[in-house]
Amino acid sequence: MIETLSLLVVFLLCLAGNVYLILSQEKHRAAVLEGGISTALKRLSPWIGWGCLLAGLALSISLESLAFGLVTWFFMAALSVILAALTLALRPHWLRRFAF
Amino acid sequence: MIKVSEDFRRTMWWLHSWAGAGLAGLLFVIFWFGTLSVFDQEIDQWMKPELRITSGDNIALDPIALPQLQALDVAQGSEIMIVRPEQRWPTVDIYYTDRATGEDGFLRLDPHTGAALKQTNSLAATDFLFPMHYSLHASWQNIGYWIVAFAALSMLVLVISGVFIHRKIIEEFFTLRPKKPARRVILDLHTLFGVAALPFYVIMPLSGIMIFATTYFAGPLSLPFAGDLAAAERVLDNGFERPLAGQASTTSLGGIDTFIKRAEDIWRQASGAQGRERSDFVYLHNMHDENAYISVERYYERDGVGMALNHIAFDLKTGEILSLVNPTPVQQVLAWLKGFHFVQFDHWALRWLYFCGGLSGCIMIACGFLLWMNARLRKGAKAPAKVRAARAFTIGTMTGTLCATACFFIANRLLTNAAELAGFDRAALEVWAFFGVWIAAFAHAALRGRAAWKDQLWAIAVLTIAAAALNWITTGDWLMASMSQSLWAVAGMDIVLLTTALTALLTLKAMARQEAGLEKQSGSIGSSQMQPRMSGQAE
Repeated sequence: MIETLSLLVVFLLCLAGNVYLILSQEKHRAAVLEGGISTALKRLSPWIGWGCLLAGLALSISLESLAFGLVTWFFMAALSVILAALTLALRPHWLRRFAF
Repeated sequence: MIKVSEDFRRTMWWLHSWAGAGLAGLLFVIFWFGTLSVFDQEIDQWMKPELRITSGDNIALDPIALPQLQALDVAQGSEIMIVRPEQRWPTVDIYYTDRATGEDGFLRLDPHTGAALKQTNSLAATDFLFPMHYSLHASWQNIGYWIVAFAALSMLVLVISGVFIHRKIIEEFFTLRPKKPARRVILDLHTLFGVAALPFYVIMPLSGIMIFATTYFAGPLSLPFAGDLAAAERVLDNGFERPLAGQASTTSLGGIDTFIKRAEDIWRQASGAQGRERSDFVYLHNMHDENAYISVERYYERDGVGMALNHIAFDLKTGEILSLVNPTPVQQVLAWLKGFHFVQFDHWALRWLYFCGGLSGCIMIACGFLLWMNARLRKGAKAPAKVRAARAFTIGTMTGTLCATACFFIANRLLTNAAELAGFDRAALEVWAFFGVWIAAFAHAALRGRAAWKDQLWAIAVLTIAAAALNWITTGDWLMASMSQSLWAVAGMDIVLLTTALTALLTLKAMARQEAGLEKQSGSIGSSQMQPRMSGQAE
């Protein structure tokens, strides 16, 4: 149970990392914030996204061995990229609250 | 980003398009069966009801296998292999070759009672779906292996050329615009699924080629051994062989578990008692001979990505260690790559992630194939025969493969062990059902044209639901019953079948919505000249 929850945390960190990476790109950010308010908001630094992804990697390796951790993290990062892109495709205005 | 000239990008685009178009069908098939092979043993449990037993990793072999082995009347010098039960493969399997007759035999034993189980005569996943992934069942001159190796090399070329043709790869990473025309959505999906798991698409073909290195490089490898490839493979695997003494043994087989424990203790000591140093196979060589020996082998690491490749040989009479083999550092690198490809470790989350990775590869290849076909449809309005052939090939390869796989499962649930037709037994009939439906899917696509997409998607939905229903009718293990008995493999298979049906229905809905949008659009434009382009977009 704890292992499953820990893997879920790794996945959430990867997802958050990818969402922040999305919001650091003007093109995607404008899509999320469409409605004229995007210009008033500061563009996010991609480092928050990279930080989350690295934290996920560190947690994954510490939970599993180096090889297992690396492979698990890679697949979770890949899956979260696809999920993040699918979420973005639905124009998720609820993401605004994270884009301060 | 690497700065590349437009000319170079155009060359890469041409290479990517035509290499992709030429091999997309083959790559889709290899990826699809590779994806299913991640759960080959679980599919076997679904297709062979006698495997629906809960088992453990440390079941003693002596009370289970020994009576059967002693009852086996094999000649002096015969060989026996025992597969130890574990969670994914719950039975004790005994394979033997009688030296006198040269005949092979097989016994499947209940891991709790030791009783011989009635076997379902089916190739199932481990002997049909899995070999389809790496050999396409084309055994003549190993041609299937060579075709798959060529496809794997081409996959590497496609991935590299694909990276170069995108100007803004990071930006395109997250781009998916579902409300754009279908052509644009397919391109976005191709890029998204292609880039997200890019390292996976590099390592899998590369490791796949390395696994069969002895097949692909048989000539150079066997050269120092006077053309004897088996001798070369023995050296590469650190194999041990003891010749027959030719004199009948006076001692009988006393026990197997003692040797297993001794071998596992040695591995445990060597690794500092870290992981689960569990053996997978036990070989009894030179049976009933004075030089009889037992080899305990550990093939899978279980707690790590790589493979283990440890084996210890004991003299069956004295218990003396004859050979103790651990992989060399070079072999360990190869074992890691093999392990990464074979996915035999005990990590359920990672196993599912591999499955998702395989599916993402299928989606990427299918979308790339659709893009190419759409381009042909737009350009090929004056050559309807070519258009029809391209479309039939695309539909037959993608939805046709899925229909054929579902029919393979249905045939397995409908046929009995006694089934026979024109000299073909049940296992062969299941295979014929697969290939028959696959060929029919191509023919149907050629006859029905664009409408075949919808027909075959409906067929996938109906067939997968039918397969799950037939499992319930023939075994009584419906979804909730399987879950309540902890038969997770069977429950998982049913869930995947029903999810496939749902996905097919959702795709049909999306296609209908897209077509309705196009009709509305063409109605507002009011131009019949737009029609060929629209039909191309709607694919």
